[in-house]
Amino acid sequence: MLKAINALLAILAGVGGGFALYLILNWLVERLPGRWEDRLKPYIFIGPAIVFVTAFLVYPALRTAYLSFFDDEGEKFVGLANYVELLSESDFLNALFNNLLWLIVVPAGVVIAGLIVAVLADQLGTRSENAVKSFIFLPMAISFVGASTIWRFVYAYQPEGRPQIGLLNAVWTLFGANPVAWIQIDTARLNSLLLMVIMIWLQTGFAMVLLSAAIKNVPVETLEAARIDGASDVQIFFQVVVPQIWSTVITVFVTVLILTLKIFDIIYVMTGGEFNTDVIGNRFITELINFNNDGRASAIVVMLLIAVIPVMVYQVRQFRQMEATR
Amino acid sequence: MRSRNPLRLGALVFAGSLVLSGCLGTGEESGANQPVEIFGGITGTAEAGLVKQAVAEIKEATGVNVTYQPSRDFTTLISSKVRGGDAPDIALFPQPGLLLDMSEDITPLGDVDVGLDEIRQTLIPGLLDSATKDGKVYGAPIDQAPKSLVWYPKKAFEQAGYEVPTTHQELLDLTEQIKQDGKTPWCIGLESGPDTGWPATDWLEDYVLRTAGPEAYDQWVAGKLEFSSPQITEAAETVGEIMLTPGNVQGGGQAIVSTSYGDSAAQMFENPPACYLHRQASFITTFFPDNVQQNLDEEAGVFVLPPVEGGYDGTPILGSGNFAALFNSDNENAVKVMEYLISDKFGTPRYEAGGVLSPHTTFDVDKYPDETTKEIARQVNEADVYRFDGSDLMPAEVGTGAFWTGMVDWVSGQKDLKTVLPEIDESWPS
Amino acid sequence: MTTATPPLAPHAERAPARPGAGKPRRGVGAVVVRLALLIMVLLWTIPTIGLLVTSGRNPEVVASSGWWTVLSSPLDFTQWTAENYDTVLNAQGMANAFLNSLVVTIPATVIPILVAAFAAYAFTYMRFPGRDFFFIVLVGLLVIPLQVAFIPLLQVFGTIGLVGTFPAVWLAHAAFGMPLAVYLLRNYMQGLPGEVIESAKVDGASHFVTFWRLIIPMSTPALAAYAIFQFLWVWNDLLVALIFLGPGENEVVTVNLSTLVGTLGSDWQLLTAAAFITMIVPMIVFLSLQRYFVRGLTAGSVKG
Repeated sequence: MLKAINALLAILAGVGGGFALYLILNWLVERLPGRWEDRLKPYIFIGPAIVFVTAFLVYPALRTAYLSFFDDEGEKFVGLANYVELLSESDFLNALFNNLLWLIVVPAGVVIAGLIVAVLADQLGTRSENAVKSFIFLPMAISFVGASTIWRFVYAYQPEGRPQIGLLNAVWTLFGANPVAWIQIDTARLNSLLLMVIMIWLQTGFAMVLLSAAIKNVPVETLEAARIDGASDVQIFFQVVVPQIWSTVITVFVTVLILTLKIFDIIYVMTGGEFNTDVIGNRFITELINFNNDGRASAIVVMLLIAVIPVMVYQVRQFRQMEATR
Repeated sequence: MRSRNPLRLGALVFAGSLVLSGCLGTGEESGANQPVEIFGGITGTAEAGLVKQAVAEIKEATGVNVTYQPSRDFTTLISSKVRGGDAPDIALFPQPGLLLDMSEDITPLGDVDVGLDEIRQTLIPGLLDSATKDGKVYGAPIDQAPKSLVWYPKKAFEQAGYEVPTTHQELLDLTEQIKQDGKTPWCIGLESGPDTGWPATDWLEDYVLRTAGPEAYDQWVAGKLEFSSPQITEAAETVGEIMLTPGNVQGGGQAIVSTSYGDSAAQMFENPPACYLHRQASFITTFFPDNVQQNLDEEAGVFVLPPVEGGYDGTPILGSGNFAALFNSDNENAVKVMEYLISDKFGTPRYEAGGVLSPHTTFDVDKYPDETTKEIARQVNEADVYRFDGSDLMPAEVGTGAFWTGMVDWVSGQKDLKTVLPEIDESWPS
Repeated sequence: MTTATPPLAPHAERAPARPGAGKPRRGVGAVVVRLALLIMVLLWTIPTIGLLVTSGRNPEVVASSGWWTVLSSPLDFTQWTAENYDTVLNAQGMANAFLNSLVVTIPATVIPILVAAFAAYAFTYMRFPGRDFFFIVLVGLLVIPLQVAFIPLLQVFGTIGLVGTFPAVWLAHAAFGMPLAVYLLRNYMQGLPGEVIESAKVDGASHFVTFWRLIIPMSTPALAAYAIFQFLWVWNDLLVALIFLGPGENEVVTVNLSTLVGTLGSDWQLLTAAAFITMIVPMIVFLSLQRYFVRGLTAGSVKG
């Protein structure tokens, strides 16, 4: 009970603090002489937002880059040693390779699964369509940790002779096969793929919603015209629909790509990086928390940051184009 | 404590924004009534409860308002707390290696009046070495759990006519005999969430002590003897002979890796028993089924992992324990609490409940709750060599990183010893 | 959530219906379509159903038989129990973590909305030097991996004793969610009719009054959409919570669940109960506000 009251107080303090900040700032500005008021007011309005991102994103990013050239305590300058070391370790290269796989498989898988549902459900009546979409969409509310628990249970393994309570092994042994410790099998990266399934499962709803809306926006006339020309459904889909929804496909792909780049939770919960499933997001946490090595952890993040730069440039360019056509 | 100018500047900005967002600060008491916080990784309702009881005795004896804060993820949290300048007064480290990593922030026991000389006399010889760096003692054990133990389901074991082995060869013969009877000899489980693999490191350490001997063990733990050296490889092969010989464990290496260590212990008491032998530390009894725990002496048998012929001449004991370290020596009360905590007076409620043992040879063996524990305590006190769990002494990159991963890779069959051991060597920080 | 989510504009909710294009099919094709969709729906729901079922079963039956076996005898009440929830909530600290999650999530959702709304207003309706520069920076920051901020923030928070406290995560989450919030709200506000604002100015209303009385109420859909984003994101976050709060007294549900997975091994009835507790709030938020969420996702992205 006391705990609940404390919780309520904390929430009020947090929320109230935010409001108070604004009232005070605005009150201050309104006391300024008129000329100054107009000049300063915009900065008072954007000020806190800019302070937030500068203090919590820009400055730390620069400092992280700086720290990546220092040793584990952040005290001795070591040049590129952290990078050289990491890039020569088979474990880290392995994690990089896994990340690359994630970056290809997950966004593609999400787009394809989302597209399948969007296209197929489009052919149902409105009621059934909405019902189907709700089911596919629901996992979006589930956390990576929650979803990992759900799928850990699906992949659960018991040695032969003990009851199989994991769904996958139950189905598998139904056909007379021996139970398999799925998340240990790194042949052809099977275990990594099984972990990627979790993320695809979570994100398909997102792709479906965007793609479905895009498909419904394809002008009917273009479809009719193609149909009159004798195009089959498949031809219409690939030659008429896909080009028109392409920008949405790219948007979905990029969004999921960015999310995948930072993937950490699923590996942390499912394998802790064992069995060749490690990725750099998890490596970062291991270096930072378990090994207490600020230098190497920073170097890992900087590599992540470098990987993001092309996306960032693309993003800014897209935005500029959009502004220009507004 | 790191404090540089850019940080200060950043700190000011944050402090400013924090005040505005309604800080929930708490005032700190000082002086004679200053409370003492002990932070540690001993968790679980029962276990942590016993520590709290034991800590309450300190409160009674010293009059200091002392509390115990347990956290399941102590290892993670202590580094971020110390890093964040939020260190507790006293911390109980399950790994002296981690403790020594933080030695800059810890008060050496020789610098304050906590009775270091007295405990040198009463502690099991060798234990204090684990928390010593450059001749300074940074922590002292508050408990110990011997690990070189093999458990068996007493009733079924005796019914089948099996006998406790006294040499390694007899242990192998017994294993073979059980298999001949159409049963599974061993239960082994390495799964432990993010810490998966640690039970296998104990196995290897036990056999390094038995085949290569304590001196080689010390060199190995200090990083002076490589994992890929002939001595360590031989020890690993001995472990492999037990763990990985087909039929020794149900499901083989893959099952070992995916079975949680607690479950594997409990399987011994299924009906019929899933296995007849289980090597694990004294604390494993808490994972036994309730009815077994209640009649431990009748249900469970235990013997010390036997010595290897042609290896070290004697029976070494591998063990672990929690080490107390003093972070805040400015708090006089914390020093007082520390003195009590590391003396042989502390912990009686815990030892009376069983599971863990006192690190002091002066502790009255008859206070342990059952014959099983008393017997273990006697054997430990008699043992000629006691060594602390090596993976906890190695640098974290090895002890909680590559060593775990390597053992898991090897046992699950993903890699062979020849690949795994040099890989662990590579992870040793230069 | 740093995403490349498309801009949100007010009047692009739904395209006109397209007669013919989406009409239900008949014959073999229809059967195949329905079958394919059925399989997908099953794949997307069965794992969660397994979780829910298991969380209510007795430990003995969970260990000895698959959860699907209840389908043959769902009314055998000896297999059901509520004890798993009791254990998880009380003995395993989930009740405490649940409260902590609320304490973390609510301010971490409200603060960035408040801050971002003001900034978005200025970016849309005020002219000042540096406006475009600041906004481009924000757009670029949309995709930055938030891990870059952790190490220095830990050090700074450390020097002022914030590590492990709620304000630390409020501030961190507010900042990490800021670029998206400003971006979404500014794009939305740009689509609002300009005349309203002009007339307000003529009437002599100050910026603050215009903002508070006019813009905020008109922007409700965008505010709601962002609030849902941020709420789900913060509630479901493990990374930030693990680093800045960690396990212990102030741990949130995701951190609690991830440690349980490590310590409870194969006590599936407890793990599943714990997982369900972490899911319940986002599910309710999501189901009840799905309309806003979908609108937030789609609006604008497909306006041609």
